[in-house]
Amino acid sequence: MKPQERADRLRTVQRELSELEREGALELTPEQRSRLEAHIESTLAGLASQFDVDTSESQRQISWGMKIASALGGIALCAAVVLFLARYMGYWPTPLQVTVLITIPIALTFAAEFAAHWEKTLYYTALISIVAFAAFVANLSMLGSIFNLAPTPNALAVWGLFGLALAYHFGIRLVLAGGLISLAGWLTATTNSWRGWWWVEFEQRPEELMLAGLALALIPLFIRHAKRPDFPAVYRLVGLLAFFMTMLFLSAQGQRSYLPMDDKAIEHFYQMFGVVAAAATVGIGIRRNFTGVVNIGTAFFTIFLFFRLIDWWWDWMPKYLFFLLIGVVALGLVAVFKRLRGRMRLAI
Amino acid sequence: MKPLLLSAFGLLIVSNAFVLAHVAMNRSGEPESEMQLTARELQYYGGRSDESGVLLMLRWTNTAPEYPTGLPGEAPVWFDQKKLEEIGFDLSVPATSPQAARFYENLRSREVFVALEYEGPAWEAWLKDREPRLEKESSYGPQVTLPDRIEIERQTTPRLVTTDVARDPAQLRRKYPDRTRVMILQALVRAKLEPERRASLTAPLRPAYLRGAITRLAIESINVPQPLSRRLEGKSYSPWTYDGNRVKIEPPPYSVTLRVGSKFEPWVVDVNPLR
Repeated sequence: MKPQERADRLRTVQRELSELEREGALELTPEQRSRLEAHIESTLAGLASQFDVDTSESQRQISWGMKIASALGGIALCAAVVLFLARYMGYWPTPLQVTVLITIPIALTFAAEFAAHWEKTLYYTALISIVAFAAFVANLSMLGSIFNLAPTPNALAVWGLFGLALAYHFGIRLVLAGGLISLAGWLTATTNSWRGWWWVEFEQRPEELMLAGLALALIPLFIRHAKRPDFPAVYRLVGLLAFFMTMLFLSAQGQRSYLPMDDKAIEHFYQMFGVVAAAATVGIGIRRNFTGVVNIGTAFFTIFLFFRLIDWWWDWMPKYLFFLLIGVVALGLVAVFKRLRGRMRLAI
Repeated sequence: MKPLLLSAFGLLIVSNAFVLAHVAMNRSGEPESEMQLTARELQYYGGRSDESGVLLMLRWTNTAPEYPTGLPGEAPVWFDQKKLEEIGFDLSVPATSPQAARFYENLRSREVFVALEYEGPAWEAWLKDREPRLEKESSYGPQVTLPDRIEIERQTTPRLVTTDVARDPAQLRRKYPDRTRVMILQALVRAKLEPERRASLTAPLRPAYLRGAITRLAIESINVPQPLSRRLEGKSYSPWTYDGNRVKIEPPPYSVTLRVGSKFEPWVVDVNPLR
């Protein structure tokens, strides 16, 4: 169990005991109560000093603010680094350009390592890691521009592996997402170029991206993440987004598919498959208690369903009636989910 | 140091070393080709306030465009079905088949090598071919007279003309041995289905056929390093202007020596002002 989870559970126990005492369901002697309070407080103090965990609700809210600020700050700093290089690099001789481009990601990776030793909460480490990843992307891209190199998909593989190495070393989920997106892009682009096609056009035949997304979502089933329990959710998020967004694209652009069928038949196939796959995703997410999977499945189930309804009804139905029916469908969905929730409660 | 951090540093160092070794290999030894071009072929559009790099856009005359301008139905003679087969396109669906439209629309680009001839017979032939079409050319305003149009084409358009494509660059070099006149670069080509059509209402129906199209060069913008880039300051090139009375054609303000290396990647070795 992660230290923060332990701290949260102790606080919940503390609150629940007070509530049970107030309701008369539990009665502790003053001695038992003070011993328990002392134990909880000393454990929380130990966790706070050792791991810098949040021990109160207000601290937790501030931590969320810090997480958001470090992610936004990281993205803003990425833009700052890239724009600074674009603004001034042209004035420098080529050896200086190359030295600066190579030095920045190396220095930032060292800085992230230093920050990780210095702080327990990893807010600065996360911020610096994000910038290091972006600086490495800028490093290879700009070297390519300086030396007029033909673009290659292998850069995506190198960025992906670098992102994974940083993410697993420091435990930063945003960098893991960046690495996984790069690797999914590389997989799709490379399989395209094996067939002699230009890899940059991989979005024109996106079915491989769908398979790459599915593979990413399934990886946590085969690779255990005992040390990084929050990483499987990132694999599932990136993988399922790639899977469903590609399917959504193909449900409107049947001519982009490999399937040996008529364009319209392919679109209908993906429209129906999208609804079924999204419903199955919700089912799997509920069964395995994956909140993120349930949310993505629900979102895409709704999107696929509403796109279908627009396709079927928008042109010929009066607009007020269309929106009325959308409202009725939404109420129907709420009823279905409520029933599902009730069944789960009975099962418990 | 932990193995994951070590592998991150390893990736940083190895990938940069690989890029620099690739550049060194491309630029070492005898250049694959070297030629002196002008602003007509390497156009400088001027700097931007938020970017300090100087890029020249490689302008070339595409004799096998994807969407030909000019009269309908025109098609390059040299980039035919046989050439498409030679460079590996799957042309198993006949052009007249009902499945052909979808099949060829989905047949994507392939990377090949293209021969670009500088100011040679291909350029002269292209100009000659263009002249009768210029009267109806929509890119010129109606106020620009036909003699002006011909002069603009002759004095400002890029003289680097596509003449051939192949999968093997050595095969192209054997066919075009002059390294100061013919440049070989990587390009993207695709197969295009030209549907059956009549040139006019009374003309006989021309059957559908397949042709090749060059969609782009793999490298189209070329970086100019310091200190050469300083020589391009204030030298952005607008080939011609029309002041309401007459057309004024600008001569190219600079020449550029462009070298192409063993990996078919170009770089600028010299820039000289021409006026």
